[in-house]
Amino acid sequence: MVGGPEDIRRLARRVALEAEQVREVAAQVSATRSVSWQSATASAFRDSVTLCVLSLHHTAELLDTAARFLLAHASAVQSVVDALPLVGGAVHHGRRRGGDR
Amino acid sequence: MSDGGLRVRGGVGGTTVGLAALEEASGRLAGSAQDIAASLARTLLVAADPGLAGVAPAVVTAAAAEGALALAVGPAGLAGDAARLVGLVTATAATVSAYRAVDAEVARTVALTQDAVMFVVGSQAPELAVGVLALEALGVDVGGALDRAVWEVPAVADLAGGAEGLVAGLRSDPLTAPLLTPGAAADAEGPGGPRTYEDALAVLADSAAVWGLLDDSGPVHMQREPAGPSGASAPRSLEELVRGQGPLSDPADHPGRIRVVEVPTGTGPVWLVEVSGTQVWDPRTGANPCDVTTDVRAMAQESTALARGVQEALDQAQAESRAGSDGAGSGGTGSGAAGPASAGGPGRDASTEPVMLVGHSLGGIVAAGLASSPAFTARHRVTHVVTAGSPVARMPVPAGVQVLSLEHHQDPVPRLEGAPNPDRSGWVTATRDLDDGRDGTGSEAHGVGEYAATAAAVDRSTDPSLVAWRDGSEAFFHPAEGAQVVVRDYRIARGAP
Repeated sequence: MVGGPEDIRRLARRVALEAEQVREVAAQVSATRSVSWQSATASAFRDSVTLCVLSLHHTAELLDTAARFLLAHASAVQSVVDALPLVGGAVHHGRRRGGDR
Repeated sequence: MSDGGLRVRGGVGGTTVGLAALEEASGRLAGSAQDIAASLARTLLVAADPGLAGVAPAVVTAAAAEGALALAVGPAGLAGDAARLVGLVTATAATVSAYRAVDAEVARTVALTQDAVMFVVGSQAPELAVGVLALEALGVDVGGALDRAVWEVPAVADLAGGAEGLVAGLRSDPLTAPLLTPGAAADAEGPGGPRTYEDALAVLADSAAVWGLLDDSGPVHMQREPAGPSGASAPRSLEELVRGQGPLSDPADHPGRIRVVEVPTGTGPVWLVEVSGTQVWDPRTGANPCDVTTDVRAMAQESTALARGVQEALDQAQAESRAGSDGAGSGGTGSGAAGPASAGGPGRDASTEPVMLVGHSLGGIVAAGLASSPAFTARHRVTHVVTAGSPVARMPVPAGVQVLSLEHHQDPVPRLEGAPNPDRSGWVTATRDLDDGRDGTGSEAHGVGEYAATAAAVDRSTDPSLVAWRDGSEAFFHPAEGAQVVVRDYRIARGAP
């Protein structure tokens, strides 16, 4: 089954929304660094949380990229759809010309 | 952590509070991991949507979109994030558990080791006593040698925490077993000896009482004394408070002395109760209750004459304050003006007024004991305790009381219970290492002068636990502007008046 351009744009919006949600999660995860305990264990915890936050932001960018690719795909499909009447008209015109002969 | 030569344990920056915060953070991370897993599931549904299939001219853009989605849900994207968060949650939970397990195991092992060593000491007591006497006869100052030894190897004093082992050892020797009297305290013993450290001390003290030693029974009386010229003032800092313990504990000038300081604040008075340290080192019981007998009985968490006297003194001071009369001998000091110390009157409820109990050595033991006494806390709202060089780790001080314990690494006295003070939000222990290359003694390390220097370091410290303690105790050191601080001194004595 091939989706129409609007279906694909809807998928793109869903993916873009996921990117925003991942950024919100990143902010929540980042807040756990506020543990005030001064110790080697707490420092290691904060370092690990920092790595998680960086990774989450990277994932959000990947989702943004995927959303953009989906929109590009929707545009490409839209172009195909827009071109169909022209192609159909040309084929019909050709057939008529062939029949005339 | 270390701050200005101090090692700080407990309080808001302590391990217990830190582990609880880590646990709480870990719980929030678990929630975040669930959110990412849900996001992964939704994005996978997008990637699997049949509408993404490309038509011939758009097959390249379809492939590009599918590739980008695969990257976003893969190990470098959502799946990896979920795994990382779950891993962090698991590792944090394991770390917290390991911390607690190690703490508990270390405490158990230390207690067993102390008991084992002290069992040997108890079972060899006659031989050891003969050995000590022989050394003394040869001119060896055994006491002095021990005093120097605890400076070099302070952990020796921790062995005193094995009192249960000592009693079991003494019972195992036919020469010493008869000296341990079966009595009320003996009920606390199980087949292997006393069940707790406090039970063991009670057995030892009760056995000594048969010989007229360490006997704290009988009445107590309390009388008002003039607040002496030496140190009879309101402390403005922890250093001044601790330094004041020196003159207060002078057995010649101030036998059995208790000081109650009424500090007026904008919302009513707060009360500083200063208890003298040990003044009499004779185990034979005398009139002065600031003695070894009270040391042992208070460490056994028994009611003592001195503690009863402190309660009477505070009761009387608060009654005088409510009545608005201040008898002869009042050492009024303070902020300049001569206004009444406290607003209110006979109808004031003194049981709600904050009390800080303070003491060096024995004074600290009694302070922590009173803070742990339901009978005392029913009458007085103990909010703060300050101990300096006191073995108080086993005192069941309620969690709501803010305790500050000052200790020195080389001081054997606070080690006598063989256990570290609790690490919790309301109990901060500041330990100073006095080792600067000199040849010191345990007695020097126990001195009030050194503790005043440690208190000064606490006053200056930026450690979060100490800063929080200072903030919470500020009212005791800063009377209301223009109001008069009232210092009342009392003498506590055993026996009838």
